[in-house]
Parts: sequence; C-alpha cells; structure tokens
Amino acid sequence: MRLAALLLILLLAAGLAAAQKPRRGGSLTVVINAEPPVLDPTASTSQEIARVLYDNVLQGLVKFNVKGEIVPALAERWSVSPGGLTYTFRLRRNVRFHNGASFTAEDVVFKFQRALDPRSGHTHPEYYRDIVRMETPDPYTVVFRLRQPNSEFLFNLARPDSVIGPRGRVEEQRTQPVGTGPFRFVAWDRGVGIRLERFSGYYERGRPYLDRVAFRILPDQNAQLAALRTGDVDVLGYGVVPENALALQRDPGMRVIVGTTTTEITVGMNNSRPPFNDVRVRRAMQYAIDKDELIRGVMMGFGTKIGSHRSPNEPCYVDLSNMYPPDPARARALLLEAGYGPQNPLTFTFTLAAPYPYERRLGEAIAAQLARVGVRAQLEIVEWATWLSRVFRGADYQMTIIGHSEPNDIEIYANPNYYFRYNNPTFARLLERYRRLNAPDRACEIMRQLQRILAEDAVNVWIMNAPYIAAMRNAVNGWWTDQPTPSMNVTEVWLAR
Amino acid sequence: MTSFFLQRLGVAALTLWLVTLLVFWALLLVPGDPAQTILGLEASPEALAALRHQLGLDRPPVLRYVEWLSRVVRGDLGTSIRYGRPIGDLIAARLGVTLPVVFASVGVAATLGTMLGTIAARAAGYRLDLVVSTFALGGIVLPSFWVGLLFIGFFSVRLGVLPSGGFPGWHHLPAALAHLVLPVLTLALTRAALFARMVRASLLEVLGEDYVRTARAKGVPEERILVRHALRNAAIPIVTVLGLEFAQLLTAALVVESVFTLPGLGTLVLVGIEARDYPLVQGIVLVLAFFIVVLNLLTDVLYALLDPRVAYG
Repeated sequence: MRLAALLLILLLAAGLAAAQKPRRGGSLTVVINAEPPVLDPTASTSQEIARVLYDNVLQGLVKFNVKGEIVPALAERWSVSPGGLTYTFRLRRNVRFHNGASFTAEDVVFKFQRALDPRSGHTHPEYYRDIVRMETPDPYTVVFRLRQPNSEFLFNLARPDSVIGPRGRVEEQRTQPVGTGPFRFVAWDRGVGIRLERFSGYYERGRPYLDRVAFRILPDQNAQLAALRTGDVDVLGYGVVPENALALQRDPGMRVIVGTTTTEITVGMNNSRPPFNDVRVRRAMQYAIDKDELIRGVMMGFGTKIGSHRSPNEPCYVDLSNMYPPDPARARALLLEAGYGPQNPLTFTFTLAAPYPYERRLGEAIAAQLARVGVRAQLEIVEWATWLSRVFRGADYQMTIIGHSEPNDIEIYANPNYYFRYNNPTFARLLERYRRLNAPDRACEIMRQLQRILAEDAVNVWIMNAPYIAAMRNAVNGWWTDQPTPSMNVTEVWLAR
Repeated sequence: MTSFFLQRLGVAALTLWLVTLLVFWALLLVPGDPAQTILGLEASPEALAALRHQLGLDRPPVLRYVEWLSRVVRGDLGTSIRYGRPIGDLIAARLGVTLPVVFASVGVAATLGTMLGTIAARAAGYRLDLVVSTFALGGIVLPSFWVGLLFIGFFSVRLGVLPSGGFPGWHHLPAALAHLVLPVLTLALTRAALFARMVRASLLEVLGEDYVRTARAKGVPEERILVRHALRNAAIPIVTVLGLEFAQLLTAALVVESVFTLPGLGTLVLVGIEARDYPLVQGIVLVLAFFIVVLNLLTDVLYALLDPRVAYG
C-alpha cells in the first residue's frame, strides 16, 4: 500500500516535471485594454506601446527581467569605470534585425544621437542628457562618456525609451516597428489589434516558444471576461478588475496572476492653490483617508498600501504607509486649525479620469471617507483627453486621482511645473545629489530621505501600489508574474498541451 | 419631377455643409489636445509643440476649416492624427463591417417584423396579438446595448455557441459571419419590434377598408386577401419607415459595435473623439450624414414615384 502511494507520488512528480518542460508552437491571443497611439516607444510615452512591444519585438542594450533586475539584451556584458564616467558595452555578435540587417555599434550610436537631439521628438531626452561622447572602437563595442556620474544611467538604458532600431529608420518605426526581439511585427489592424510572429533569426536558440501572438484590443471588462471564458482569447493581459479576478479564481480552468507593479495610485493635490496650498489641509487628508479600508472594500484585498511616491518592489523603498494612521479626530482638528469647521466646511472639486476603473472607484470611496470628517469633495468625471489638458497640463484642478505607472519616477516632484505644483528646492537639490553619487549605499539612503520629505510635506495622498492582475487559461505558462516595467512579455511564454 | 429632385438635392447639400460646420466648431469647444494623447503623459513641451506644428494645429481654426472643406469637396478626407493613415481608407475599412451589419439587420428586422405584425393583425384582440404586441413593446423600450449584453451572457457565456465580441476579419469568412450574428440579432430585434407594430397598425387599417370587405363578400380566401390586397397596400408606409430605419440603424449600430467590440465606424468615431482626432471625427460624421441625407433623399423620391398623390412641387 505504502509502496503504491510512493509510486503514485513519483509518477505524479514525473508528470509534473514533464508538464514543466516548455513546448514549442501554438498561438496566443492576449487582451489589451487600450490601443497604442503609435508602435514606437521612442515616439510616445504611452505605456500601451511598451506593453505590446518591449522585449517582445524591440530591445535595447540591456533590459529588465521579471524581478526588475537589469540583464543583458543586445549587450552581452558591460563595465563601468571606477569614477562612473565611462560605460563600455560589448555587443552581441550575429544579431539581426527583423528586416535582415545586422546589428552593430553604428545602430547604437544612431539611436542615442537621435535621443540627444532635442528636435528629434525622442521621448525623455533627459534620460540621456549626461552623454558627452560615444565611441566605437570596433563594430561590437560602444563606449559612452558621461559628463558627470549618473546613478540612473543603466536603469534608463533598460527602459522602453532606450530600444534600438535599424539605423536611419525613424518614421516607419511608428507604424511598422523593426527590432531584434524574438517576435517580428506582422500587422496592426487599427481598432482590432496587433499581430506578431516568431522571428526565426532570433539570437537566443530555441526561443521564442510561440509561433504567433495576437494582441487584441478589448476595453470593456465584461466583454473581456466573456471572451476569456468562451475561449476567444487566452490571456487578459492586465488591469483585470477585482470582482472579475475573484470570479476567475474560482474557475478551475483559469489561472489568475496577482503581482506587483510600479504604479503608485496617487490622490494628487494642487499644492499651489487653495485649499491644498496649506500643509495642514493636506495632512488632514492623510488622516481622513483610510487606505486599508479602501484596499479591503474597493479593491477586495488586492493592492499594497504605500505612504510615498515609490513602490515596495523598487530599490531603496522605505515603508511610510503608517506615517499618518487613519484618525478622523486629528483630521478634524487640523482642518479647524486651517479655518474649516462645521460652519465653514472644506469644499472642493475632486476630478476623476473616466477610463481608469481602479482610480475611479477609489475616488468615489475616498469622497465618502472625506465626508466622514465633514469635507465635501464634489466628484467630477472627465474623459482622458480633458484630464490630460486640464489637470495634467494646465494644473486647473484641486484634487484628482491617477496611477503613476512609470518605474522610478520620484523625479517628477523636482519639477515645480508638474501638475502637483510642488515646489521644494531642498527636494530638488537632494535628488540631484542622489543622481550624482557614485556610491550605491549612500545613494540609497538619500532615496529613502527623498521619500520621507514627500510624506512629511504630505504633497499627495499615496493610496497604494496598484496590483498587477492578469488572468489566463491554465495552459498558458511563463507569463510575467510582476510588472517591474509595463510589459506583456511573451518571450518565455509557452502553451501546455 | 426634375425640379423636385434638384430642390431636394440642394437641401441635402446644405444639410451636409451645416453638419460639417457644427462638428468642426463643436470639436473646437471640447478641451483636449491630440498631440498630448499621442505623445503621452510624460512628453516634453518641445516634442508637443513640434507635433502640433507638424499637424497644423497651431494655425487659426478658420483657416483649418476652410482647408479641410476645400480638400473634402475634392474627395480627400485628409489624414488621421491618431493613426497617421488616410481617413478615407480607415472609414472604408470600417464600413466593411458596419454596412453589412446594418443591411443584415434591416433585412432581418423587416422580415421578422412583417411576419409578427401580420400574425398580430390577424389575431387582433386575441391572446396571440397580446403576446406579439408585448414583445414589440419590449423591443422598443429595451436599450440595444443591454439586449446585447444579455445575448452575450446567454449565447456566448452560457451556451458557448457564438463569439462574444471582436472580429477576425473577412478573410476568415465563417468566423467573421459568426461574429456578426449577435450584433445583427441585437440590432434587428429592437427594430423588428417597431416594424411589427407598424405592420400591425397598417394592416388593421387596410383590413377595415371597403375593398377588403368586398373581397371577403366575393368569397376570396383570407390568405389571398392578406397577401394580395392588404399587405401590398399596407406596404407604402412601411417602405417609408424602412428608409428612416436604415438611417436610425446606422447610428444604433455605433452603440452596438461598442458592446461587441466590432471594428466598425462606431468604435472608430469613439477612438477619434477620445484622441481628439478632429479630421477623423469630421470625416466619419460627414460620411454618416451623407448616408442619412442620401437615404432621406431616396425615400422622398421613391415615395413620390410610388404614390402619384405626392406633390412634386
């Protein structure tokens, strides 16, 4: 009997091991919530572009892996000079672009020259500002000389903005991207989706596993759920709403992935305008909002509360989520001090952006929490383009809520024109010191200090690190469990039989 | 006849021009910047300015309108800001989905509506009439997007027989047709209800006419009376409604397309509005208005041809 049990266990284990072995072939349909505006991450900062193309089609010298570590991509190794002023990259040989051209140091130089040209329209030129010179001692070596040490330089080279296309090819990349990734771009059916297919000339042998990948645009959550259940699609790539995640978790044929992102869901306050130009009012908001209750009640337990503008999975994170514990009495006292009481209640407009489901429902619940301390937040729902022009660009708002999804983006607080209108020269100076320090431990200490300053100034209310929720058929393996950078990474995905 | 036609044509052209004017100025009033929606949240001010210049958005609106109009009259709808492709091509591709859906819906709605209406008229006052009339009332009051969701829930999720949404493209013909079944049914059912009521009312009126009584008195079989005499005469108001219905369906299709995420004109216009793709939205509205105006024109002319009593003046 015991022997039989042992045999059974062994058999099961063998079966599992066999099942774990990646299988070649098959095609995968992945749902995305929105259509990218263009297909070139160097032409637009829209996250939808990177979600589809990062690493799958377009690669840079280095890239992020699922843990957020920087790993080799087109550069097989690199070294940094002791002073932090010289970065030398050894490029992979025998790399071909999807159009057949071979990849050399010339392509790298062309890319970063373009990135440095302010008239080129390249996204985030500030990432590359410290490059003074590039040298190519041979076709497979690139040397970057920096003006000053920059602790973020390598990180920036791993971002989607730093992907490299064939030299001279710029305009066409917007609609027909050519890269070096394991998948080749096939077609963009406007309004329908984007199709990729296996690139047989990929430099890593045996990769990718899938023959074809289709990204299908399906914005409606109910339609997404129906499409997954009926087998029309294989994966809901991101942003599954909590109630659908719970429903799918009960389905034995489905797998729900709950991981981390770099998205800080932030209640933004206009620090330059009444009433939020008064730090007492901003602190009152911190005490009035109960983040645990929001996560439990609105997000059904998904998400991690935070207390500053950084996500727990990012380096040098410090947990400040309990700096302002929920305390309605204290909130009332602070408001009274600032001149708001029962006779003269604090009233303002709370602007919500329509297309973001997590933020919208959180905003509604937050308004209810604020009402408990006598604050009247009048909800106003605007669609995305209006939000962009009025709130984001014009800072014509009082309070809003939005997810900031870019990794490592605390530097937005050093820009006094950013829509929070936070102006603290000390913060800006400290951030500059952090960037220039060539000693990781010291730099990390400064990064923690930066987070503390923001929390003490109560610039915004940072609610939570948004969960990464994806759902897929059980047969789908190798899907990214976290989002250190927004990416529907299919480079290692395979289908079980 | 010719002057009647020319006069109608003039009115149609004027309507179209007013539509373009209205859409252009309405879009100007809406806040939002197409360049920002393309370049994203973190775009630099220089990049935004460069793109706005490239798109010609930094020029006065009046100039933009005149230029756009002068291109349109030459048959060029311009280039989409969002997609960077000729708007004519984008619209043509989407019409390839929307028009089949609308035509099929009109066909199904007219057939089903006529059948139900005839049944109800014959059974006027009896239980069957009540059932059909209740169904018809339901079809009219239920919003199509909700009916669509119910259909998805039943046919796609519960039974698993039809796809819930999306469109694989016409090169997969059987799959493409399967994807269009639910949208067509959704649109057709609400419209069939209206037809049924029209046919029933029209038939009842005709069945009360003297010549029907005469036919009955002569001993003509009831079926023959219904088909030869009644339905034929009841058809005139129905033909009118058919034309108007077609125009109605074009706009109703825009909503239903969203429910089923069909890549038709409706989803395209939504994308256009969200991205503040002014030329795209103008182009689509113009094309829709064109269809509606032409249909109205055709209905007018057909009506005049069918019924000599309609004055040409």
